[in-house]
Amino acid sequence: VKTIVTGPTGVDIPGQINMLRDQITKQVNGLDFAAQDAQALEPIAAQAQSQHIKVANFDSGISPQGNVRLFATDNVRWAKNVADRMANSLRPTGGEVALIHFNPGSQTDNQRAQGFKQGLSAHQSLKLVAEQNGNAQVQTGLSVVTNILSAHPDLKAIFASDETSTVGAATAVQRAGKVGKVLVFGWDAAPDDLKALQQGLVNSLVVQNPFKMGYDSLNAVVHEVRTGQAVPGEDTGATIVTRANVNTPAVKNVLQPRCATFTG
Amino acid sequence: MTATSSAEIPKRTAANELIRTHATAAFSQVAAAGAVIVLFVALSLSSSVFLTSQNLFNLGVQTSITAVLAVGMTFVIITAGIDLSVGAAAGVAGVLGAKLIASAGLPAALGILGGVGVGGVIGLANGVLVAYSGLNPFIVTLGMMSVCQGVVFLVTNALPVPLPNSFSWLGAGSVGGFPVPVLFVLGVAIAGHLLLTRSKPGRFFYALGSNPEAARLSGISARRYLPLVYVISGLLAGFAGMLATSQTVSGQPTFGVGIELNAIAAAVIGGASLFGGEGTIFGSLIGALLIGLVQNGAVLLNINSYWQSVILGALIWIAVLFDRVRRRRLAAVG
Repeated sequence: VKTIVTGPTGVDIPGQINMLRDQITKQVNGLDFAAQDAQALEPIAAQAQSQHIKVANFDSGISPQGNVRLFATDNVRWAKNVADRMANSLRPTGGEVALIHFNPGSQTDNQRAQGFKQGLSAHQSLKLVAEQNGNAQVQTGLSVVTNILSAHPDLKAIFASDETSTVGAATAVQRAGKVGKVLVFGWDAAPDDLKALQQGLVNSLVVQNPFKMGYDSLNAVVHEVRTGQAVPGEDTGATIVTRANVNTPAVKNVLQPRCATFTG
Repeated sequence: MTATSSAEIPKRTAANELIRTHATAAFSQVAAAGAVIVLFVALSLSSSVFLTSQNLFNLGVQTSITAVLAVGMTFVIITAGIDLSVGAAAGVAGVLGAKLIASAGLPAALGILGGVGVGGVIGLANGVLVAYSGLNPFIVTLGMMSVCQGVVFLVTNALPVPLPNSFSWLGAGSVGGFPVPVLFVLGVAIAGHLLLTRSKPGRFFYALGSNPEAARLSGISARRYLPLVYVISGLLAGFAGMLATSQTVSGQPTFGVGIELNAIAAAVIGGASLFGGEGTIFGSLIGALLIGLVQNGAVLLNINSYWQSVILGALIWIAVLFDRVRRRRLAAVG
């Protein structure tokens, strides 16, 4: 198997489309990509399939997904899980909670917000009082959470739905002297997120499995090219990392993945 | 007036410009200050927490980055230029300053100076290109923005540069209940104001912006003085980057994207004219405060974040329309 790895630097949807077109022109056997925009990349997948190229998506899919296999975190499911755990932590009183977006309009952001709100609807004790955008920048996340803490002195918990807002929210809560009074539920595990978790500023992190996304999706494409049999897509899952389990071998495998973990 | 010596002409031109500039800029500032007061009162009435010392402290911290950038942008806009690279330059300076402290082990103060210096170098490159290449400032600084955005990812591999918590003093610390960054903003603003109004280069900046031909005939060298405004803008962008690095106690490679627009908006709302020759530091600070109030107020009242951009855009239109009406009146009066 010869693997060509390519991609645009940063968010560049036309750039990604052009790169995929070039690969189709070169008549590769399979394509495995993370769609920067669900709608815009759909025709490319269709074009590739019409030329008998096997296609899979990792991390983010196309819309409609059709018969292209997707290997990604089920964002709705895991954001719903955040709401459930939040309700558990705030039992029995419940209280006011906030949601921090990071890239409104993107499918991933939408799905996490949607899942979180679905989860909240099952818990009458939790009330969503603030919803703001951290713009995928720590500094903006820090500012908006600081202002939310001023506006809602009784706030009990924050769902920070990406790695930057997680750091921003943790820093804001710490500066406001509200560690323990306001729980931060974060997403992803950048080094600063883990540091905040270890310092007790963050209640928990939803840690995705990017390694598994790439590994399983590429394997699926290769398998389909070789045997002609499609491998079904999957929720690559997430691990809830807390201060209590962050140093366990199971969690370490997720945080520092190695091929050996997958091949056995 | 029959035998006007060539030495007298520039003086008279400069004096007239001075009076005109002050009269018109004052008008814009009053309007912007009025908007700040209206917003201040409205927020005090609609939010019970707005006037708390904690929130006013936060407002100061959050406005400081825009304010520092707006001071630098004022210099550039006065010369009829524009600096689109300040956001990206702040990003590069913020991570390189952080690296000086975290990787090279320099003391915090030297790291901050290093970050400011990185901004200065970027500004010097902009200034030399604008003054000597014949390219217009929009193109030069647009290119520089792209260069800086690339460099920041090259030097960090898109990873933040963490710093010890004590580094938060510069951007979020307190001296007697007063936010440290606001004290720096005041220092920068006073220095900038004196440079613009009391120094020879400052007066030349206005002259170069309002009438480059007259400035040339008066012997004011654009090649000598234009690079200076971009250096000032770059140094302040570097400082703004270090403020952000301090606030997040880490150099963030994604910091700075789009904030040049806030700086330009602050200067324009405060009465700086994109055609050059007009603008004051005080006005730009008022503009920065207005933007800070919109951002702070929107979160306090839980207004959808999309509306914040809509409101900011509307403020820019109003400020520029205001400027046009004012110019027509001035032209009518003669």
